Amino acid sequence: MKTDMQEIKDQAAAQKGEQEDVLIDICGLQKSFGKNAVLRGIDTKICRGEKVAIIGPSGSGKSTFLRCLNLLEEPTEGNIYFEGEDIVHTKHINECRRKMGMVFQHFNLFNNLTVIENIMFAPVKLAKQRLKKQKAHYRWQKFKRFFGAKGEELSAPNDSVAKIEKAAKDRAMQLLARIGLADKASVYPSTLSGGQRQRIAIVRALAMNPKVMLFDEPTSALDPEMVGEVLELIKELADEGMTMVIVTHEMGFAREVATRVLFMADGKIAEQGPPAQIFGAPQNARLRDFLSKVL
Amino acid sequence: MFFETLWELVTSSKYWGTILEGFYTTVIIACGAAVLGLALGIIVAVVKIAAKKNKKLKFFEVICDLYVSIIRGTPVALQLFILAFGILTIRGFPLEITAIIAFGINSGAYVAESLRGGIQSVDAGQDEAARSLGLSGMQSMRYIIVPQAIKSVIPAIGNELIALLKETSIVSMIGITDLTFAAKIIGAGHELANYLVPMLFVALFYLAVVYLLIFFIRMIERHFQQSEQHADERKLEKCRIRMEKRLRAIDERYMKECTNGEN
Ligand SMILES: Nc1ncnc2c1ncn2[C@@H]1O[C@H](COP(=O)(O)OP(=O)(O)OP(=O)(O)O)[C@@H](O)[C@H]1O
Ligand SMILES: [Mg+2]
Repeated sequence: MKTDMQEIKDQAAAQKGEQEDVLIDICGLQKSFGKNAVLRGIDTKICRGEKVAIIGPSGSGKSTFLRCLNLLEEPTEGNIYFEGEDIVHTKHINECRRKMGMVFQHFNLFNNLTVIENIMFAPVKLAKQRLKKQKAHYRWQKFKRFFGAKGEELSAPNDSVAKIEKAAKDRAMQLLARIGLADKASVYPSTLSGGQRQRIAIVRALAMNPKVMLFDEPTSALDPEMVGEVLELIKELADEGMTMVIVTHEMGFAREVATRVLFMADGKIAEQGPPAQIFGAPQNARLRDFLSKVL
Repeated sequence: MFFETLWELVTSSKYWGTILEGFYTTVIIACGAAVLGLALGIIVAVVKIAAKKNKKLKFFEVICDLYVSIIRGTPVALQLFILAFGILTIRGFPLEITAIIAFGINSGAYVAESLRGGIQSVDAGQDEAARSLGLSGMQSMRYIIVPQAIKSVIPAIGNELIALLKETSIVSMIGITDLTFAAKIIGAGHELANYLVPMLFVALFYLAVVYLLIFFIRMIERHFQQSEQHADERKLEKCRIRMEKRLRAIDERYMKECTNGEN
């Protein structure tokens, strides 16, 4: 038994050394709602390609932790570095959020937009914004040129609104085809099943080409027969190498897909490690208690 | 007796003149107050919603809260008196304008509450999803939240406008001859010497305008409900046409390949 443990630990250490390519660095993260301290100091690093599963009893702060990662909740204390940038104090939070896809328990598809519009909306809006900025920059440069300023080589932005929309639409259709819902492109979300909605929510996040995907109990609001299709899609993404953080109650799924499992209790990481260790040889008493209840 | 008096009323151009003048005053006051109320309501609602996220606006939020609770907690007649006899006491200041301001300020508070209620009725997850995709708060509000809130806001605002129109009937208390007071003038002893007939008669005017308003509100409501369904159908149709085109192109290519193969 002891040698087993040692082996697992060595493996974990080796893995860590191998991929010390940190994507998100969380330092001393604390969050309280009024007097209710929900997160009480969380330190961990999430590396590129890692699939982190977060488990823990209800109310332990799993959702709050995940929402802090993309600043949907503002941390009370501590820092979060995303690709080295301090996102708690940045002025460009919207740009940072684009690099993090988030999937919610209740899907949160936009009810006033069709399925394809749901997927296209943010990419198109942001590309248009960028184009507008480029155009303004171009005009300003030309204006300066006119008065004799010298500068870098000038080139007009070669994008157009139509091009942007076309590209976004093609990409959206591609994504929909991938999940087998191309025929639902122009219906409203309210007509779809939970499983279909959640898969669309996932590709909506993917359409932004995020560097990491954050899932908050993506299957807890689904009927049992639809859980499979959603987990299947998430697993596919994992196999493609997407970095992900998943809060889940599906222990089987965590065991299969995760490279690391975090067990949260009382706003802290009570234990973490590879799934084999967490599920096979839990050390923490609370974790053992928790596992005996859910397994 | 009743019909005789009614006949006298509808055949007299003098009475018609009084009624139409009163009607005109009522409509002007109601319209002016509606415009002012909507503008005020939108501003207050925007401030209140913005203040929730931005702590620096706390001061303005307190002012808005104070405004809404004072207006909603006191009778509109009293508000009208305070403005007419306590604040806008400048000689020669048009009373109609005073009434417009009083009712505008009054309905602004109610409009603000309707707007806020509508926005709050939209699931918070919608905003969170928008923000998580990197959209700004403004973009989320404009393209996701407001379009969804509008469906519940329009009936509420409509009701407020209807209430406003009817409430303007108290302006006679500061000496304005509106539709209601016109009926009272006509009913006086030295005129028709009958109050019931002219009052029932002007009631029809109010009813007509209220029904007209209801009709418009329904139309707007339906517009917002149908636009979704229609857009849906239109898009399906477009999609179908495109698919057919593509299929035809594939067919043609296939035929071409077949004939090439034969050669
Ligand atoms: N917006 C909020 N305002 C106040 N308190 C909150 C808020 N969000 C969460 N909390 C509190 O934070 C605590 C942790 O909540 P959180 O949603 O993070 O738990 P969780 O681990 O995700 O639980 P579950 O498994 O039920 O989803 C709870 O006690 C909750 O009451
Ligand atoms: Mg949760």
